[in-house]
Formats: sequence, C-alpha cells, structure tokens
Amino acid sequence: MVIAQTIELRDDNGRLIHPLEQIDVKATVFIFTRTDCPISNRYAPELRRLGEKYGSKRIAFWLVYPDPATSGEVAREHREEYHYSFPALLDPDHRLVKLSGARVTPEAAVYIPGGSAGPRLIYRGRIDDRFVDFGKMRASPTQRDLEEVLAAIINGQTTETRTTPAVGCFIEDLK
Amino acid sequence: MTRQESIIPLTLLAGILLVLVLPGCGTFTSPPAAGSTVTYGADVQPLVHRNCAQPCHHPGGAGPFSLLTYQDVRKRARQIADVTRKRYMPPWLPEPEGPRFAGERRLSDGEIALLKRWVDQGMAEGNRVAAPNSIASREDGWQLGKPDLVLTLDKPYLLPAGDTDVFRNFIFPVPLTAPRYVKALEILPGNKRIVHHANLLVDRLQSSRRLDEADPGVGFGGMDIEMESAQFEPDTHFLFWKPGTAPAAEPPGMSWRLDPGTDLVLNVHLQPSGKAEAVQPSLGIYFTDEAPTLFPMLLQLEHDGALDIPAGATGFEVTDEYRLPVDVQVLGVYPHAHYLGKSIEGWASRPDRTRQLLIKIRDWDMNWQAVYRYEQPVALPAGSLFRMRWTYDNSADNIRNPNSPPKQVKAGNRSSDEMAHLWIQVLPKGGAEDRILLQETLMRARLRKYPEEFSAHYNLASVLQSRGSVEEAITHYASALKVRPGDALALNSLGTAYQAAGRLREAAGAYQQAIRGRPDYSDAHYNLGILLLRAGQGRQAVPHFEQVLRARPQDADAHNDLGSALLMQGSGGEALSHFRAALKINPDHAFARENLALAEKLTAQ
Repeated sequence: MVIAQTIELRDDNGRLIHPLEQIDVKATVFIFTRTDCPISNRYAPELRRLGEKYGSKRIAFWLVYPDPATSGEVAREHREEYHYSFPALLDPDHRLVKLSGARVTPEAAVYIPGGSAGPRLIYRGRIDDRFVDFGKMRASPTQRDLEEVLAAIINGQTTETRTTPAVGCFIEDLK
Repeated sequence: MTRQESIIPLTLLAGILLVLVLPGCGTFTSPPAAGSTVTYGADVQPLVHRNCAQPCHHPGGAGPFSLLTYQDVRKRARQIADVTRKRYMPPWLPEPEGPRFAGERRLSDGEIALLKRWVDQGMAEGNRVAAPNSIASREDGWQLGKPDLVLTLDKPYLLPAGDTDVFRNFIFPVPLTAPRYVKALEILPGNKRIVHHANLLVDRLQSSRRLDEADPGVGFGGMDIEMESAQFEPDTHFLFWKPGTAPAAEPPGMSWRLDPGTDLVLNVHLQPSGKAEAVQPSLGIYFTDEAPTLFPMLLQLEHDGALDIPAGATGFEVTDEYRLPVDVQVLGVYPHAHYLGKSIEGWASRPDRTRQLLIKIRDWDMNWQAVYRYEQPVALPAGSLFRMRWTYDNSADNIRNPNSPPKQVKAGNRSSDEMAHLWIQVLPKGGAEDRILLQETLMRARLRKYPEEFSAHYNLASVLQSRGSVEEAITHYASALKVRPGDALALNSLGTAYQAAGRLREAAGAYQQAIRGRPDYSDAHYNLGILLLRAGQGRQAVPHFEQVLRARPQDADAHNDLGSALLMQGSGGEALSHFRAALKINPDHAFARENLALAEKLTAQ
C-alpha cells in the first residue's frame, strides 16, 4: 500500500493544482503520456472511450506530461489534436512519476481517497494488454486492466493495490 | 490477325516493380576500447545517424519521432537500447545466413552492445557534433527528380482514429494515349504517419473498378486483391514501398511497359495514429524510350490450398516446390503471409545436391514484410529445385493472432485469413523460349496442386498456343471451360486456337458463343468478323466490325476491315470513308492504303 503525500503540479494553463485533494471523487486516474510517443498516441481513442464512460461517475481523469520539454502550450495543442477531454498536468520534475512509480508512457495510476491516511494507489500499469512489446501488438486486447479497476471502484469493491507491466516509451529517458 | 487475351489471377504482389532500396547499414569502425567511455559524439551519433536518422527518424521522415540531435537520442536512450537489443529496430527480418541482400539494415552484436554501454555509462555527449542538417525531407518531394507523370488520388481517404489497422486499395487510372516504358516509379504515401507500407499492382483490365464501385468511400478494402491481366505477359517486377526506402530506377535494360487503359492499384497498410487522419497518395512515373532488353519473371511458390490451420495449432507447415527447367539468376524474393505466419525458409537444391539458402526468417512479422533483393544475383542451373517452408502459429500464444480465442483459419484475402507465398524474381539466362518453358512448367506445377483451376488451365493453354502446341492448347481451354462454362474470355481464346488449327467452323462457333455470353465483347466480334471476311461473307462481317468501332472508334484495323467488308458487299462509298479513317489514325497502315486505292478505282468505275 502506497500512501500519497500532498502533491502540487501546474496544469497546462499554468494554474497550481492539488490533484490528489479533489472533493467528492471516487477515484483519480493519471495517464502518463508524451506528445511524441506513438504507442501513447494510439491509445487516445480508447482513453476517450474510458473518459466518456467513467468521467460522469465521479472518476477524475488527468493526462500527465512528464517531459520537461513539454510546455503548457504544447500540451494543450496535443490534447486538442487527439481530442482528449481530460485536463492535463505538467510533471517536469517527475514528482507524480516517482510517487506512482510509473515507468513508461502510456501508463495509468489510479488513486482512491483514503480518509485520514490520505489517497491510496490502487492500480498502476497498462491500460490494457494490447501491446506486448514494441511492435508486438494484439488485434484487440484480451484484458482491459484499467477498465476492470474502474468498474470495481464504481461497484464499491476496493481491492489490494495491483500493478501490471506497461509497454511504451521510457519516462526515465526524460530527464 | 487474331486477338487473344489471357487471364492470370494475380495476388497482390504480382506485376509489381521493385523500388526497394534500403539505406546501407555500413560497418561500424573503430569501436571504443573496453573500459573507455562511450560518447554520443564519437560513437553513438554515427551509428544512430546511419541506421536510424537518415532512413526514417528525421524531421519529415517516416519515423514517428526524430533522432537527429543529441537531445533527441538522449530522450529515447533506453528505448533505443531496448529495441535494438530485441532487434525490433532497425526493422530487418531475414537472418544473416545466406546470400547478402542489398541494403541490409542489421546491427552487429557489437553495435548493439555499444548502445547499451552508452546508456549504462550515463549517456555522455562527448565532443559536440553539429546535427547534420543535410537530410532533406525526402518523402516530402520526389527523390528521383520531377516525374514524367504524376498521378494523385483525386480525393483523400479518411482514416478514423479507431484502433484497427486498415488495408485499403486506391485506383489510379493511367492517362496515356500510347504505350510507354517505365524505368522508375516512386510512391508518395501522402501521410507518412499512418502509411505503414504500400504495394502497387498493374491492372491491365481495369478489373478492380468493380470492387471500387461496390465499396463506399474512397478506394476499397482488402489486404490482398486479385485481378485479371489482359495480356499473357508474365509478371516481371516487384513494386513495393515502405518507409525509409528510396525509390530505385530499374536496372539497365529492365524497363517495363505501361499501356493506355491500364489502372495502377495502390494497396496500402494504414495504421491509425490515435486521431483521424487523411491520406492522399501520389505516384510519380519516370519513362524511358528504351524498350526492355532483359526480361525478369516472378515465380511463385505457394500452397494456399493446403492452408487449413486448426485452432490452437503451433508449427503447422505449408510447403511447395518447383523445378527450374532453365538456367536463371535469382534477383530477389518476397515472402508473404499474414498474422499467423511464424517462420519462412526458401532455398534451392542444385542438381549437384548443393543447397542454396534464399531467405530465412525466424520470427515473421507481417508489419515489416518487404521485398529483398540480392546484392549479387544468385545463379542456379536448370534442374534446381526451389522449395519453401512456411510455419504457422494459430495458438493464443501468438499475440498477433487476429482471432481470440483462436479459430480454424484457411487461405483468403482478409487479414484474418492466411497466405503461404514466396515470390522469386528470376532472370532467365536464355531468351523467349526459356521464358515460355518457365511459364509452361509453372502452370503445370499449379495444375498438379489445383487440377480444377480455371486460370491454370487457361494460362497453360495460352502458353501452349504461343509455342505452337495448338491441339493441347484446345484441350486445356476446354478444361478451363468445364470449370467455368460459357466463360467469354476462354471461348474467345478457344476460337483463336481452333482457328490456328484450321478448324474454322468450330472457331466461329466459339466466337459466337462468346458473343452470346457477352454481347459487347469487342475482341470476339473482331475475330468473328475476320473469319467471316475470309470466308467471303462481307455482309455478315459488317455488324461485328461496327460493334468493335463502337467500343474502339480509334481502331485503325477495325476501320480497314469494316471497309473491306463493305467493299465486298458492294458499298464502295461507305468503304472509302473507313479506309480514310484508318489512314487518318495510322498513316502507315499499308493494307488501308492498298484498299483505299482499290476502292477508289472500283467506285470510279
């Protein structure tokens, strides 16, 4: 179990945000992404679908850009280009990366409010099992890990923290 | 004069001209001594530049990101070390055994280790190298200079953001009025981000237009398409494009003919990028006045008929073989299967029992399929046996398996079907006779696999007829017609064979039957008209030539023959105008000139 500390990041309009202190949410989902990662970009339609399905069910989605070279303006353009309806956070110092343990883009980290103990990381890993490696991809996923976690949260089932390996561009390269 | 057509069912890759030249991979010189620090400037930059940046990963290039500067490479360092270690990049499927291919793009173990060391040691920049700015965005413009003819899709195709790969075919009508020889052809994909690779087919009968009309939207769907070919002109060249490849002019003497009325069909594999994309490809064609003097041929090893892969099967094998009747040089190979293909090996056993490996791929990946051309042609004597062995993995462990759970899979054109092909481009040592012998033996080999196949009987008959074995040709046309009764093309060709055998009554019967089946079939009308003309039945011949002229108003022969028929039935005045029309179209038409003189004399009397 990972206890999240207070964390403060800027969104793509330069406002300071405390994304883990949101009121009245069942869960907060961070999607680590990168403007120039093809695997990440290819997930845009699937992420839109998840956003539409769960966004109205008190699940907050955030795109997180860990590339220090990505400015707010670039992130806004990227969001528009791929029709993301989620707000975006810039994480140039990899604070959220370190907190969540995310390694690649795209990768998801899901937190649930944890009462006095603070938010708890309940899932970190792939969106689904479509990509097995670089260039190795199923025609369609056989397991939609992120969606399963969100469905469980909506149904009031809290689970142990789960992690899965994600395939994508290494965040560690972005320093 | 008789006109004959042949049909050859061409799968996607037939009739294709090779424009595949991969950037050379070169050799890595002076690796840093063990223990010394690997730096970007001294070690990594030359390696990454030659193998990654130059071919694809530059601004405007086919790669999804650039690897031109230290910052670019630094931001991908672990990824680069990882994908090179797994040999996913640079993409190169063939094993290093066997003869060397032109433009091999394969890193050595030492080069891969060097990249890893650089990452492990902290990715030092070392001496600052100026980022080469000399890489022009080659795919943004024509690499071979301004083409003689540019064909652009009139409307863009819109690829949805969705998550499934799309295989789409686009038709480019060729606006030529006379045949031209093509020495090079360049494909501009129109959107490099999503076009994974492209094949070009030569559709001489415009047979793909029916498919296009049946499919709403721009172009039509399908991973592999079949088409008819109007002349018995065997397939000669590969025409294939994938990102990072420069177009190549055909070797000297190997131009190919492009006829008026031909359609070029571009088959593209599109990978969605995550957002909706428009794609509007262009073709650039470069002509030469030099007719070909060397005539390569494409031989196909295949046994799609044996593809019946049970769900869950691993190691399912499909083999084929073909014995060469003549000496050849092998110029290149093109293996083709879909997502269940696991491995392919192609080789030849020479008569002296030596084995010549042609291609070996251990881990087939349809997405990186390519035409492979040998650096030096591989000589094989007559009597050598070509063999191929494909293996397939239809289990759930094959992550590319399009069916989840796996299900039984047979041959077919959809991406969820399978194929088992190995195309081999050969240059016969001898002349036309060798080519005919190759065609004949290929069709006989095909008939052994598919005794009931229309096109195999039909094409064998065509070859036999062209080398004078008319009676055997008639037998195979008849066999073809047993498979497809009433087929107009086969009936017309059967008529020409009867005619060649002197069986004129039967020839006329075959033409008449062809016309009954296809009333606007010009060639059958023409052939029947000629028969009637020779029999002195001008009056009966007239409507047939008129029918030809309705379809082909600029056919000088038909004008001349209609004139002759009219003259024969006593309509000299009308005949005059047709001889004049023939001469207007072709001033050198000797028969029309003679006939005109005769008609003028007759009408003057």
